[in-house]
Amino acid sequence: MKFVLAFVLLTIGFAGTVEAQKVFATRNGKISFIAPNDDDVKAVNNEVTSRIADNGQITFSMLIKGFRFKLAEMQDHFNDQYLQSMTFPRADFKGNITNLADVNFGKDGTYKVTVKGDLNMHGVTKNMSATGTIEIKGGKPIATAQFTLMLKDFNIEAKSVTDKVTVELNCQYQ
Amino acid sequence: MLNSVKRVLVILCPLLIALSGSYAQQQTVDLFKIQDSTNASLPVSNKGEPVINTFYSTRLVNGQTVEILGPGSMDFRINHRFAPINTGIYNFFGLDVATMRLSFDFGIAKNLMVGIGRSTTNKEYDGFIKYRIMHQKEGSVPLSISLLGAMAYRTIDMDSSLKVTGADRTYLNAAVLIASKLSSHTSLQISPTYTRYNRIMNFTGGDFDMFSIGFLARQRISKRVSINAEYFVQLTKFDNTYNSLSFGVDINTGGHVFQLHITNATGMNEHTFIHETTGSWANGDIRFGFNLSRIFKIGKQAKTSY
Repeated sequence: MKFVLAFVLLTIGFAGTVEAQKVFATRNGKISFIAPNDDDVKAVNNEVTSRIADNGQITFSMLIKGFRFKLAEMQDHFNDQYLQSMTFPRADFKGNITNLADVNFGKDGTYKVTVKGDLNMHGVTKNMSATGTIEIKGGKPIATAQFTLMLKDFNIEAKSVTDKVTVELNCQYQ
Repeated sequence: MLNSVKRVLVILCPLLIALSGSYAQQQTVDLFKIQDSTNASLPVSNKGEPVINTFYSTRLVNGQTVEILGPGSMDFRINHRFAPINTGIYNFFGLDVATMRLSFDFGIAKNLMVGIGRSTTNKEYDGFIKYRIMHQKEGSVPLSISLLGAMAYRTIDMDSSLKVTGADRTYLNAAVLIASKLSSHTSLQISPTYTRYNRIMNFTGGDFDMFSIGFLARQRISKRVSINAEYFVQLTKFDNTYNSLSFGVDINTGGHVFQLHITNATGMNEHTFIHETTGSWANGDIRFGFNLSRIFKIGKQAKTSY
């Protein structure tokens, strides 16, 4: 009888130790962009909400109004004319790490990753992929990446300013 | 009996493990669903947000708008006005004769700006200060209000027999600018204005204290182009002067604004264009003009910068 009890408890105990999924989040992720041909056209958003899980999912969400320019007039044009942020207030990304096997969330280190997913901005959803780095430091991830976005892919008409922007991403998760 | 219990356990325990394993999987977090539900719970409206770009620029054609230059910005403007088109082909329809106003506007604080300028007409220097006391917000009273105070000083030589003093050469102007952005395409403004003449020269009639109301309208026709109209009704006027009526087109390209316009007014500072317009549309005294405006950043932008 004691044996039976021990066996049952062991089984349930063993089943209970299936590892919980790791999910990391931040509300102060940083995403900035600059026009490659015009240094004046640059802005940064320090209020990006982002989540990353060890199942390879990664999401970013931000307010277009959260992008700050040095020149107030440029920020006004960005919101009012180019991105129409009154109509399309957010930009959201949902993607997956395609080389998840190369990343060990439990072990400190630097891992090169490729992320692929859907970016929704200005009323357009486009599938895109980018390469970046996930550094695990003290068990917490830091994601960095740099990639280019073509404005016409999102119906953004700013030809007189620039046709593409270089985007830089830096998110430190808790 | 023990044997049958053991047999049951052999079947039951792996089953339990399998079940608890799949239970753990049902607990798996889906970040995409989390993002969707977080975004859905956010307030959808832009209620409380200050409205941007009621007008594209701080001046429509001649008249000032409620817009204030961003802090740390400098707006360099060159305004050109030609002679009336009805002076014919000899004068190349007025293009041979040009008057100009050069000015620098500075954004001081979030709702405060100043400017200094000089017009070739009568060699006048002018300066102004403009302060926004109310900014139209989404979902509340649809009005923006700014206060304008301006001064002009005429430096052109005048006949010594007139014994003109410094005070005589000084003109003061105060206005309340009340605007409403009716939609993303249409904005209207009304500008009740007071102008002080310390001495009336070159005109008859009128008064030292002159009153007028400006009506300004902007209609956006594309992302970067708008059509503007401006009409200043004089409540007190000098003899043989007309109300100034202007039409303009604004072309906005990033940092530059190009303004093309036609008007019957010669002047480009407040007292001149409101009260000293001697040409009339009916007589064909229509002048072509254009303004160039370029905004530079000269100081650190407060608070909203990174």
